[in-house]
Order: sequence, then C-alpha cells, then structure tokens
Amino acid sequence: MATRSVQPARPVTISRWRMNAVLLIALLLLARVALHLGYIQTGQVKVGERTLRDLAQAEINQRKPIPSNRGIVHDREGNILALNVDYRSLYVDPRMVNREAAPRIAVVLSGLLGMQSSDILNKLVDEQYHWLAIKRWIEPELADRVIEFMKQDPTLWNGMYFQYEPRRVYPGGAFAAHTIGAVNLEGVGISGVEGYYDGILRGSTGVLTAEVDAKQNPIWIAPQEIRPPSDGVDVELTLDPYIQHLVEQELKQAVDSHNADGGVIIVMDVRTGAIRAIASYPTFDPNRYNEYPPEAYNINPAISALYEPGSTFKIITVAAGMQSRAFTADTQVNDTGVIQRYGYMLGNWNRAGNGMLTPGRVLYYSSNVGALQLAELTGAEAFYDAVRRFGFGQPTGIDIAGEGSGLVPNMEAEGWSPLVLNTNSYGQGIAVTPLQMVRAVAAIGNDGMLMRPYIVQKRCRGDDCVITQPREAGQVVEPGVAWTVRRMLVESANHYSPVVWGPITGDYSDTWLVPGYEICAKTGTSSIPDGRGGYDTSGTIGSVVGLAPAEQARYAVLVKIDRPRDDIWGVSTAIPVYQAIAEQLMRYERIQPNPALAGYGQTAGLLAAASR
Amino acid sequence: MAVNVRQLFPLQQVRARRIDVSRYLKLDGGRYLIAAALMLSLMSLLTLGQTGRLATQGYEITALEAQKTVLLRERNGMLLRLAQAQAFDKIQPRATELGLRPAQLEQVRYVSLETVPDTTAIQIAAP
Repeated sequence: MATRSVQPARPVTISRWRMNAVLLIALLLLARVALHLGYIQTGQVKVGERTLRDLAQAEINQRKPIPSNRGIVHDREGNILALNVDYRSLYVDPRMVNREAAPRIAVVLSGLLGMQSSDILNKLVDEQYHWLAIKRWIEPELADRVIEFMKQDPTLWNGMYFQYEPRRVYPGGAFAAHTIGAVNLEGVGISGVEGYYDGILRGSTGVLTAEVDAKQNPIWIAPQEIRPPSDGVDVELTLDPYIQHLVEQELKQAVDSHNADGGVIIVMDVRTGAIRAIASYPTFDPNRYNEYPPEAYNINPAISALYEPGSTFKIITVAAGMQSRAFTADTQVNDTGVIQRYGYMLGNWNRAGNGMLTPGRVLYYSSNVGALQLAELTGAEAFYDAVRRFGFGQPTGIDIAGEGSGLVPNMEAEGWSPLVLNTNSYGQGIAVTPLQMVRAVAAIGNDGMLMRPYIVQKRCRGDDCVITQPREAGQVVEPGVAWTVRRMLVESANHYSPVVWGPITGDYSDTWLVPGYEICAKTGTSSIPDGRGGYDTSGTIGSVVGLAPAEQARYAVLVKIDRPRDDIWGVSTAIPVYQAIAEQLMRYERIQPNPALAGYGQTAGLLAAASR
Repeated sequence: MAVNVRQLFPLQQVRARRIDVSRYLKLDGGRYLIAAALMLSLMSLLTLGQTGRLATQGYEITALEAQKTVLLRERNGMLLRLAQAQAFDKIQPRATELGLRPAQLEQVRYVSLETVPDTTAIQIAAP
C-alpha cells in the first residue's frame, strides 16, 4: 500500500527583537500622541495669533453688550419730542442666499420696501460680505408683510434676517427741530439739545460676560460678570408747545408770503431766562436729517447765525448812556438827518432830520444821527463796557450745541476808530446772535437783571429729578433805567402799530400795537455784509424786538425776517408777525386787557385778525 | 477523631448583633468609605438639583427679559403713537373739523383772584 508522506508545516516564528521593535515604535507613536495631546491641552497650540484655549473660551464665554435706552425729550407740558423706538431692520447673509431665487426675492422686496430691485439684487449676491443691510428701520406694518411672505416659503428666504434696532424718532417732525437737534445713524447727538446733552441722554452700555448656549442665551450656572447698563436721562425742555407752534406758524407764513430767505423768532421768559419758543425757518425734519445739507441741521440760526442788529441795538445805546449818567431821559441831541464824522457822511434811513430829540424820541424815530451823538456822549469805554455787560461778544451759555459768540469791536485793537463807535451805536459794524439780542432786551424787562438763558428745565433718571434753577448773570442797568427805557419802547411800539392797524381802522396815526396792553417794541433794518468789506445791496434783515407786556413783563420776543423780497426795510414784514405773537401771548397768559388802552377802531382784548 | 463541639454561630448571637445599633455607628474601616461615598452622592444630588433649578430659573429670567424687551418695545410704540396724536399739526385740523374756533372776545371773562395764604403749609410746619 502506497503511503503519502505529509511534511510537517514549518512553524511561523517572529523573533522577539522584531516584536520588541514594533512595540517600541507603537509606544513612541503613542508617546508622540500623548505629548501632542498634552501640548494641545496646555493651550500652547496657536491658530493665527490666538491659542486654542482662547478660541474655545471665545466660543463659550461671550461678552454681550446690554444696550442702554436713550433718554426721552419732553416739552414743558410733558409731550414727547424725541424718543427711541425699536424698528426691525432687514439684513442678508449673501453666502446663504439661494442664487436662483435671488432675482425673485429682489422683485418682491422691491415692491414691499419701495427700493430699486437692482440695488437689492446686488446686495443679495455680494458674497464678499457676510452681513449686509437691505433696509434699516422698516415700518412695523411693512416688516410684518415681509415676514408673511417669508413664512409662505421659508427655504426661499434663506439668509434673510430681521433684527430689532433702536431709532431716534421725533413725533412732531420739524417741530422745534433746530432746538431739539438730531441724532445720527450711530445714535450720537449731533446738534441742538441732542448734541449738547448727548452724554447724559445716551447713558452707558452695559456688558454681560457669560457662558452661552447654542442659542446665545447665557448659562446662568456658570460664573457671570454683569456691568448693568445705565439708561439715559430724560430731559424736559422749557419750550411751551402752544407758543412754539404759534411762532412756527407765524414765521412760516411770513417767510412764505414775503418770499424771504428765512427767519427766526425767539420767545424768552423775562424773569427766568427760560426759552419758551425758538423757531428758525427754513427748518428740517430730524427724522430724515441726512436728506438735508449739513448746515440745515448743524446750524441753529437763532443761537449761532450772526447778524448786524441795526436799529434794535439803539435800545442798548440809550440804556448804556443812561446807566453811565452820560445823559438823562430829557437830554436832547440835534438830529440833522445827515452828519459828518471823520470824513464820512452818516445819516438816517431817509436822510431826513427830526430836530432836537430826547433819547426816547431817538428810539421813536429810530434816528441814527441821534443815536451816534448819544454814544459820543457816553464815550467809547462806557459804551463797550455796557455792551459787554449786556452779554454781547460772548456766548450766553444756553444749553444748546453750537452757540455763536458775536463780534464786538475792541477799542484796543488795530483798526478801531471813533467812527466804529458811531456806526455801532445804531447797530452796524457789530454782530450779534438773535439770542443775545432778545436776552439783552429781556434784561430791560427784568428791571436790569440779565439772566442766563436755558432750554432744559428738568433732568430725570427715573423719579430722581434735577430742576434747573434760573441763574442771574448780573445787574446790567439799574431798575430805574430799565423802567425809563421800557416807557420809551412802548411809544416806539405804538409808533409802528399803524403798519398793522392802519389798513383795519383807516387811521394811520400812532395807536396801541396790541389793544388793551402796553407792549414794548423796537424795529431794526440790518444791512447784510457782502464778505468783501461792504454791504449787500440786494436785501436787508428786518427785525423787531420787544417785551410783552411792558410792565411786569412776561416775555421778550424777537422776530427776524431775512431778505423779504417785497419789503426793502424788512420792518413792515416783521411788525405784523411780532404784533400777532404779542396779542396771542397776552391772551394765552390770561392777562386782563385794560379797556383804556384802545385807540380808534380798536377793542381792548380783540385780536387784530378778528377786528378786520 | 476530634470533634469540634463549639457552637458554630448561635442565632441568638446574630440577632443580638443585628439589633445592636451602636455597631452600625462604629464606622471603622470600609464603612467610612461607604459613608463618604453616600455623603458624596447625596451632595452631588443636591448640587445637581440646585444646578438644575438654577439653570431653569436662568432660562426663565432670560425669557422674562425677552418679554420685558417686547413690552418695552410696545410701550415705546404706544408712546410714539400718543405723541403723534398730540402734535398740534394733527390737533388743529381735527379741531377745525369738529367746528371748534378761537374764543371770541365776548366769550372771554377775566376773573381776578385774591392771593390766599397757603394755610395748609403753615399747619404742616407747626408741630
């Protein structure tokens, strides 16, 4: 029998040294991994400039700003003039947008938001940005409609997000716009009260440093650090809504009907310096401030625009001379109509003389020749000293951003000559702001006490309020001098009343400007410097400044109309406005009319408009 | 052959040992470890419970804050509507529509009131 021999298999053997070598390599690799793990764990690995630990911390621990609410601006009656309201803004992350759907989205949004579809499409496909605003601060109804569309087909609207953003809103639109000012798109006050009080209105943003979950909510079990926000202070202005509305209406009507360049009206509380109304026209809507040229919202003409006050400044000339005892109310100067000084012929507006004039008659006739002689009697030093005491040539200190200082010639400066004193006496060659002028006249109404004007009367953080106390800025003339000047100004006012009452009563003689009341007023026609050392002959500024009523005066009022086209002197434009405001103020203040103070065809207490 | 006649484990002894409470309080050796583990477990449970409650309350606070923000938004929106409705530009045409007009002279009466000393203030000031 054949047998098959089976060769035994050769055992597989691995030599020990090989096994040890493999194990050693594995051990080394493990050691390397362990080392690297340690290296990573100890936070020494960097990605760019930041360690992994920092990156991890940044992912988990986040600093979330807690926004503060900007304070509310109220008028003195508590009506809201400015507040922050959260509106929804529509943002897009272009990398998340469905490219094919983008044109359709653009067309839909264009119809809803009133924007060009091409502009929207450009933003939708601009992948170099992660976050682009399609439209900020969308009206709630519009935002709701867009959201409705989004809900219909959510996938179509990938990459589109709504986000709430605070926006400063001015419910009154252009109401008191120059006084309130504006807040820019970054939430910073840039003019008016918004600019001046920006620091306290804005408050301070808080910060929450905490670990957050996937939805960015803070995880409260982890240690947190909170710096709470401090909301802005609410401010209450001295503005009276009725008076502000009245002066805005009157100013707009006057500027539009006389085709003037613009104008200013200020109403100031004589006893405290509180501003009851400031209107400048043309004005702007602070809700859309960026649609206007910067000078429209940055410059408040009532406190910063300089002008030569013209004959209204004769009030200061007379008060300065009487205070310095250079002359009395009975002193007379000879008004020859034209007078020569230092080689120049200086004259009245009509070059006509009025004969011997007391200071009161100088105001009554608005005599330039008389005023310059009174200033000469006073002397340059006493004159300029009084002018500065009245607050000219320096800011009044009102709490509105952007106040001007004015220009008062300096006797010590090169180029000054006595001729400058002559022209300054009737308000030329000197530049003031409307606020400085009305404030000086308010001092006459306040028995010679100059007050610091102010616009914010209360600042409140919650129930904790700080009330602004009126501040005296010095006794500029004695009460007796102030009283005498007021009597002169009543006559001056009555001298101009035929401009209003003549067409109504048919009597063009002097009468009461506001029947039933004694009102102070002085008119002025100002030439406008042309910037080349001369005057622009194409227009003038007509202004009136005065007190209502004359005794125990409540208000100082200034009306200034720039370049009325149909009135070369400007006065017949400004006087009716002043008269209308004064008579409304008397009724508003419930001051009883005196029946004895009514002339021919007038009824005490009856408004001029109702008398027609 | 040797026989162990000793009682192996008398039942009475066992019972006596079982009801001997002091024996359980003698935490010697491994018992300390068990007790420590029990304590740790209890503390962990407490901590876990507290942490859970804290986390829940934290989310409630977050939700309340979100609710507060919504309410503040609504409040500001209403304040805005109120302010817009109170604007003179809105009131004046409405008043005209309703037939209101400025008071005529014959409708105005001026009444002079004597200034009355504030006796209330005096009473308060007096003890």
